[in-house]
Amino acid sequence: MPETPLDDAVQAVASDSELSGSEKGAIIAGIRATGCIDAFAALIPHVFEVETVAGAVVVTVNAVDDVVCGRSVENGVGVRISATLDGKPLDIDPDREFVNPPLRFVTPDGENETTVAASIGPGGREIPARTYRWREDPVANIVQDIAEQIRAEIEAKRAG
Amino acid sequence: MATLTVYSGTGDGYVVSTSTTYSSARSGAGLTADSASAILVVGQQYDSADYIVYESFFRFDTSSLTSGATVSAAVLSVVLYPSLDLAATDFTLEARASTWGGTLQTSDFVAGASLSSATLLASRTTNAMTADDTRYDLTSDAAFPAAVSKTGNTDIFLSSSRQRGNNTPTGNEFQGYYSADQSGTTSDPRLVVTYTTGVSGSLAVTLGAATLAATGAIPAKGTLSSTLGAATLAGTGTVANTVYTGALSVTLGALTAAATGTAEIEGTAGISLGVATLAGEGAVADTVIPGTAAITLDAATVAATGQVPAQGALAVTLGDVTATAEGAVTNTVREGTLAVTLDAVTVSASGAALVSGTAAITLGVATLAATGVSPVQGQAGIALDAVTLAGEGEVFDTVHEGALDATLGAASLVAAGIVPAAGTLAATLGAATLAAEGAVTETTHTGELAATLGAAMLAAAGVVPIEGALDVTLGAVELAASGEVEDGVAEGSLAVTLDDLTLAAAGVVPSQGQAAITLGAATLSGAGAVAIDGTLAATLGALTLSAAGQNVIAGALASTLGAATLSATGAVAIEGSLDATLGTLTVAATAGLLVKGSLAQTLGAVTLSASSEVGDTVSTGALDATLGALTLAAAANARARGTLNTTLGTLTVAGSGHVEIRGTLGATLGAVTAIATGKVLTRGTLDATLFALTSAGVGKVEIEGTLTAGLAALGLTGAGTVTDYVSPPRRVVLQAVMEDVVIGTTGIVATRTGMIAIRRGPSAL
Repeated sequence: MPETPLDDAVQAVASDSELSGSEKGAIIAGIRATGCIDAFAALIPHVFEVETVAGAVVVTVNAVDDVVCGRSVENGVGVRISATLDGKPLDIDPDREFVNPPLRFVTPDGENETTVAASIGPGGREIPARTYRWREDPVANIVQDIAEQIRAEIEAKRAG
Repeated sequence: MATLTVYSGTGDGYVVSTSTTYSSARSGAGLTADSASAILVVGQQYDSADYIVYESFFRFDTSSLTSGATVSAAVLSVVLYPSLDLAATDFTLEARASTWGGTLQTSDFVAGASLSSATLLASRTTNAMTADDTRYDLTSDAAFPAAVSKTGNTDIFLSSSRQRGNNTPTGNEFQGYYSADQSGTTSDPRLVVTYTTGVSGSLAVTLGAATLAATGAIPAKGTLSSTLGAATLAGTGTVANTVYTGALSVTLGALTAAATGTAEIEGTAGISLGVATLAGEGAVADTVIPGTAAITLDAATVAATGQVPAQGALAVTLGDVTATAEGAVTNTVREGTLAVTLDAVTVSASGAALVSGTAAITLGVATLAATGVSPVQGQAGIALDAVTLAGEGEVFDTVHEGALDATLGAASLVAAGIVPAAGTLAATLGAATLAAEGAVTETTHTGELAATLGAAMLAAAGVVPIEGALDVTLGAVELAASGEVEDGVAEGSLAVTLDDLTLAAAGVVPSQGQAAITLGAATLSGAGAVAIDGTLAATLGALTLSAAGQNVIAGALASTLGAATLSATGAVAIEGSLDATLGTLTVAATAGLLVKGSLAQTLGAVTLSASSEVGDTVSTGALDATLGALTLAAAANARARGTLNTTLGTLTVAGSGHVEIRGTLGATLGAVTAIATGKVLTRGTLDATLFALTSAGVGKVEIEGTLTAGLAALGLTGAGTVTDYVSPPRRVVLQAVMEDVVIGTTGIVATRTGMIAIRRGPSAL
């Protein structure tokens, strides 16, 4: 099995009977943010492409830090980006910030497989078992979110 | 602006209310809470036994937003859990503000009757929320941004609009969404906040235009101002302070007062631009400007189809551009361009353009100073445009009483009416121009008109009286007038260096002062008389005087390496000296031509010609041509009473009347010819060395003096008498040294007492 150190750490905190729910949430958010920054920092500058209604937008992640709203926070990830469309600079928000970013990137070719057992859900309804594949990739999650945001922003601009 | 994406914490969950009666279930009965489930449930249900009502609770940690942040938008979204779209009866999913606190309890359930009391943040109908594993954004309400906590958690709960509306369920009308369990995927509930802050990111202040507009009058007698505050970045830390990698700009919009009627400004209309300053106090690599630091100031314009009575100051002032440093080594290094550019100041009107004050363009000093090195590797330039005043009205147009001064640009006063410039008109490195088309006392210039390295021009249909000095260096000076009386008066000095100097008038062109030109042509022309009392000198350029009337030159005319030409339809009288070096010297008159002074020419021809009958082409002074021809030609008599001498050139005296030579005619290495249809009288000496000497007359050829031909023929021919009849004896000497002496006549050849000496060759005598 591939190593999933961040997810393992999160699961360990979640199963800790000594911690309160809010304490668990704070610790888990910190693990997620720190792991995300470390993974992202190794890729800088990171370039990816977003297909939008206006065409392919090339996004460059220029820097990653723990600064949100101008100050360092334990559970935050600050992603500084620039973008071009057809080679010309695109006027977009350069600061994309995240709190409590997810670690598991759900994808059919993920190395890991998790099965949620069948259960009796709300109102006595039977919830069938569900299996999904994933890999520990906080960068992919954030890239996916940024792509969604840019896509939505361009659509909104086009709509006037 | 920045975008903050917050995934909900793992404490989220839902509360279930169950009762056999709907009213109890709606209000809260048999409550259970589940915060560990991977599912969040919202809606209502009737399972044939009980009524069940679900409410779900989220918590987003938005504490990273500081109190200084301004939230402009917030969007909540959830992902539909597989197989849990059970809204057989659709409802509106409503997100409302909550205070559930992060630890879910049954008491957090909100009774249906109280739902409306909770602030609605966002909503979305479930009828299109059908795709499993799909994220759906709720439509935000206007109250949402303000409900986002900037210092703590933002708590939200979801409920059904049918619960709020007291709609009893008859079956399933609920949906399930992913919760934020410990697995942590992008399916977790998400809140996206858009915000701005004064720290980190873009800092921009934009000020829109201040505009007053009306189809009628705009009586704004107070202050109309548009002020933009300062944009300041300051840091007090120790490392990498005040680092700004983006653009730092202050933009000031235009200030406009416009009307279809009158636009009266009794106060001040001003645009002030503050100083752009970048300063650092550290020790190393301070105040590094890798980009551009620029202040751009637009034009100040006052324009109207009617009058523009700007009685106050109309000024565009540009502040200094300064780059300074106090360090020890290689400070103030600037490799790019350091430039201050100032646009033109223009006052123009189709009516009167009256500037009774000062019209000035002042350009500040461009200075680079350092206690250390001050190397400028790029360009340091100051560019200044033209100063122009123009008017087309009839009375008192374009009056300029003050100083009009342009440095590095042209200064022009132009009017269809009067252009009385009583002050100083000065242009350095640009043209200075005064032009008028009026009738009386136009284009009066009593002050100084000076142009350095540019043209200076005064032109008028009327008088161009210049009492002061006109001076131009390396540019043309032109004075032109078409009036009839005393036009083109220049009493002062006219000087031009390396370009043309021209005085032209339909009337008189009296130049009483000095007119000098160096390396350019000097031309004086008048439809009336041309009288020159002073000196006209042209060095390396042509000197030309032409007049329809009399052409009187009492002073000296000198042309060095250029032609000197005097022509008149009337008489030409030269009392001074004319000197042409390496150029032709020509004096022509349809009336008499009198030369009392000396005419000297070196390496060029001297020609005096006249076409009248009495007293024409009289030369009482000395005429001297070196290496060029000397010619006196007249339709009437041609008299030379002074000395005519040519060296290496021909000397010719020709007249349709008599040719009378009382002085000495000498041609060294050239021919001497005296030809007349009338009598040829030689009382002086004619001497041709190395060339022929010919005296021919249709009438008498009288020789009283000495005729000598050095190495060429000596010929005397006459259709009448060739005689020496003048007493006393031996006063006539005809001498041919190396060639023949030929005296041929159809009449009598007589020598009374004289002597004909033939040193060599046959004599046809």
